[in-house]
Parts: sequence; C-alpha cells; structure tokens
Amino acid sequence: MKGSGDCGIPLAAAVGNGDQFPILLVEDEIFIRLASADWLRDAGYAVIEAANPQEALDILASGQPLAMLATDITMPGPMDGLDLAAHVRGTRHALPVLLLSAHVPENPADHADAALSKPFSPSELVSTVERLIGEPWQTRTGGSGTSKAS
Amino acid sequence: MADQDRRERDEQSLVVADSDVLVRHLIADYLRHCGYTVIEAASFEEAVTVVEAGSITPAVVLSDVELSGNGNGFALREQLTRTRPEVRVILAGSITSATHAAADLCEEGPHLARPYDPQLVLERIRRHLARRNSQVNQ
Repeated sequence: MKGSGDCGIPLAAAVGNGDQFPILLVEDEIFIRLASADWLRDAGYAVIEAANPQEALDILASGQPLAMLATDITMPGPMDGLDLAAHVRGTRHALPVLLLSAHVPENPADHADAALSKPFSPSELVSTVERLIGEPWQTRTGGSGTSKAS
Repeated sequence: MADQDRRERDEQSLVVADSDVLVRHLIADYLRHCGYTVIEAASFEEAVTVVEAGSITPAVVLSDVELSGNGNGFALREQLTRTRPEVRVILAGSITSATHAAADLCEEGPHLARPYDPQLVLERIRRHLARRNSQVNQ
C-alpha cells in the first residue's frame, strides 16, 4: 500500500465505508460540494465532505486514512486550498491532491497532482479522480485491490 | 419529475446538520447505509440554505443543538418551522443522542435492517474525536 504510515488508525471493518479509503472533498459552497460528492459516490467512491480547510485538518488529525484530497482553492478563513495542499504534501507525502477551482494557478503541478477548472462536468471530475487513484475498487482496503492510502 | 417520484425521493432525503465534521460524517455515512440520501450541512446557514432552496423537501433535519454560524439548533428549528413546516427537525444535544436518533431514523428508513450496530458509530466517533484532540493538544 502506497504511503500508508502510522497515520491510519484501524477502522472497524464493518462500519460505514471501513472497507474503502475515502476521498476528502473540501468545498465551502454547499451546492457544489453536494453535487461533487454525489457524482463521486455515484461512481462508487467513498467521500468525506469538509466545508472548509479547518474541517479538513480535523479529518487529517483524526488519523483517517484517505485515498486523496480534492480541494477548492478560494475559501474563507485563514487557510485556503493551496495552504491545505501544502500542508498535506508536508504531512502525507503520498496522498494525491486535486485542485478544484475557477482560478487554477498557472503552475498547478507546483501545488498538486492535478487541477480542474470550474465549472466541471461529472465525467471530468470522475475521470480525473480515476486517473489519480484508480477505479473505486482500487480504493478498497485489504488484499484484493491495488489500494493506496495515506 | 413525477409527483410520486419526487415524494419518494423527498421521503428518503435527510439533512444532517453538525459543525463537527467527524460527527457529521459518521452519522451521515451511517444513514446513507440505511438507504437515505443524506445532505450534510456544516452550519446554521448551510442547513437553512439547503432546506429553504426548495429543490427537495427532506423528511427530517437531524441537527446538533450547537451549530456554528448565526444560529443554533433551536434557532434552526424555529426558522424551519416557520418557513418549511412540513420538515421534521430533530435536535441532538450529544453524540450519544445523535447516534440514537440516527438509529431510530434507520428503523423507519428505506431499508428494513440496520446496516451495522449504531453503537459502533458512537465508538468510532469517540475514537476519532480522541485522536483529533490528542493531535491538537500536542
């Protein structure tokens, strides 16, 4: 498993999506967050929704293993999506990062593994995620998939 | 969308309003496994926005008493009672009561059986909160 360190606490396998590493989706605009999360769930991925970077930090601090981070850039508060991406790259080196923004930086590769300009379609979002972490079955915990988590 | 389809979709839709992402996510995830479509609201404003938008009429809003934003759970219930009286609002004052409320909703829900023991949800919330709090205090 790529990047799995001591950050993951064992999850009760029978609880929720305990059999799948989730995508951490960070978006402060509720309807965009809802739609994006629905598209990813419909495609078969597990998703944790965070409404701002502080909530994302709470998830990271809880030790939840993740398949990837997908974050908006411009959000209210002291930290934006680029700060969050930098934090993740410093603490969970192997976790793929996807930026979702109407204002993607000039060199997104400096900050993340990929970037999508808003507005994006369901298929654009899902295909980008698939390129970064594979198909949903590949995010499963346990032996059968080529699961990656950090 | 036909009226009956819309009614069925609404009956299977819930809003979980909680400003602690760890609690909100695990309660929402449990209810999704019970067959509901769950909308997560992280603040008073988000809960009001999604319910008052009118595109869906959720069967229930399950809200923490403490919410971030310009109102708490009581204010949310008061406002929605005025603007969307058909929406039932359940307030939970602790993670234990939120989990019990979720378990009760699961019993009423689209699926006939609980997907897993709600006690496991409670234990997992507590474990994640403890882990986060220890990280924050380091």
